[in-house]
Amino acid sequence: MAHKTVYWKKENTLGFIILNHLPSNRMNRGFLEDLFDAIDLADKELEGVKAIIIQSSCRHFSSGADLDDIKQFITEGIVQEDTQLCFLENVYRSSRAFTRLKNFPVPVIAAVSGVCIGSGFELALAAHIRIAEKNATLGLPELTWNLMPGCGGTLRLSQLTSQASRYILTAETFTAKEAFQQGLINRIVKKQDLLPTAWDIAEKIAAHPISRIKEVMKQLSHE
Amino acid sequence: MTRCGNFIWKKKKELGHLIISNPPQNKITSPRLIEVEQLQQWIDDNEIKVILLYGDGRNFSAGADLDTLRQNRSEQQLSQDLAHGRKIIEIIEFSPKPVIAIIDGVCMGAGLEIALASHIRVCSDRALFGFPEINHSLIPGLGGIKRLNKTVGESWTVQMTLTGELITPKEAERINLVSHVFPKERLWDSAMGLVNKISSKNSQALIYAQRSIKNLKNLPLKDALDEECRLFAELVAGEFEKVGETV
Repeated sequence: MAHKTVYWKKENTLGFIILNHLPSNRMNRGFLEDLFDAIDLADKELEGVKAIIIQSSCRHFSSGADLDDIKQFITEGIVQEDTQLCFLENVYRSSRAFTRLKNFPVPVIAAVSGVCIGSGFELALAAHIRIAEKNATLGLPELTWNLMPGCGGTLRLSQLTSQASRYILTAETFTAKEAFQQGLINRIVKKQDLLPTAWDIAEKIAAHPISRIKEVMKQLSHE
Repeated sequence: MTRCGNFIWKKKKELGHLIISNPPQNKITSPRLIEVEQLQQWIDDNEIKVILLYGDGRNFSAGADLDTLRQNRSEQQLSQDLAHGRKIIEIIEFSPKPVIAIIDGVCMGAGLEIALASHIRVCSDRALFGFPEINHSLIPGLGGIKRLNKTVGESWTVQMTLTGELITPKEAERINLVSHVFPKERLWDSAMGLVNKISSKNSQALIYAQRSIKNLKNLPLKDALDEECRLFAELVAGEFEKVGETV
């Protein structure tokens, strides 16, 4: 069985999406395929799951898109027609996978450690609750590379803060403290407390009947 | 430099300076603000990458000049002029190029309504913000209430609009009305630091990112998400297809 860079794990009433692409969960094509598979599997095995945690098995949550991989994708396809269309189809797939998380019937909690930028931060934004360790770095710095957030970042960040234009156009990254002040994360914790805190929140939710959990999430529906 | 009504336009390389000019308080003498065609022409200039919005001199704008507001205008005319003014503010809000307001001194009433249309606001430590219209038995008529609500939330909007009280730079920063407060003597140096961070970015990327951010106002979320994908893919093609050509 091939080593997966993202995998889904179900433990009683909790589900886990584990980002496992050392060293920084860079989102190359392989990672994204594993992420789509994990989300598919989560969807299939949702029965009995009351909360989901997205966490990293390495130091960082995710450093975002793999630009070299994208460049290779484009140049590989340059001799074929419709390179842009083919690439666009892949962007749709990524964006829609993130949106699927946002539309899950149970809450998704992102436990953010280290670097969480670009599509890494967009993944965290697709979750419903975000907590971070105090040395985390977050942001949408795509403009640095003449690009822009392409997986919901421009929209979801502006839903959370009226400072979205500033953060995106300057491409600046910010600390967990600033993210907390802006309402982008709910809690800042010490690194060793990150996963226990995520568990704690998930368990508090899971103490309640699934029907109530689903009703609440439905009221907040983003569809 | 060109003038149209209370506004002056200056072009300095890739920066457009949109200046509210009626010193010392830069009071606005017509609810129409400025003619649509003129503003559109200034904004659409291909050489302009970022627009700076500020007041002529020590103040941003104290708002409408109430003496001229009622002068020579029927109810109907006033209503039409306000509709035109609202359109102008929308044009600023939906400007494809980022609009950065640099606020010193008073920023009140229609002045604040204009500032709220900009995408980023910074101010000096001597700025003052407010909607004093209620003190004159009026209310903000250029969309300011909705925009303030979107920017700082309901509680502060209700408090500011219904008490007419002015808020300080520190409060403005805390509630996200502005992103930065700079010491007055360093306002321009510091603001230009921020401006350069933005104007140094790729034009197309700035326009597409800004457009996507604003799409939430025009499109259902699902469509806005798809549009974001398309804009992103286009930027990627622009960046990396050049590489392919040498292969």
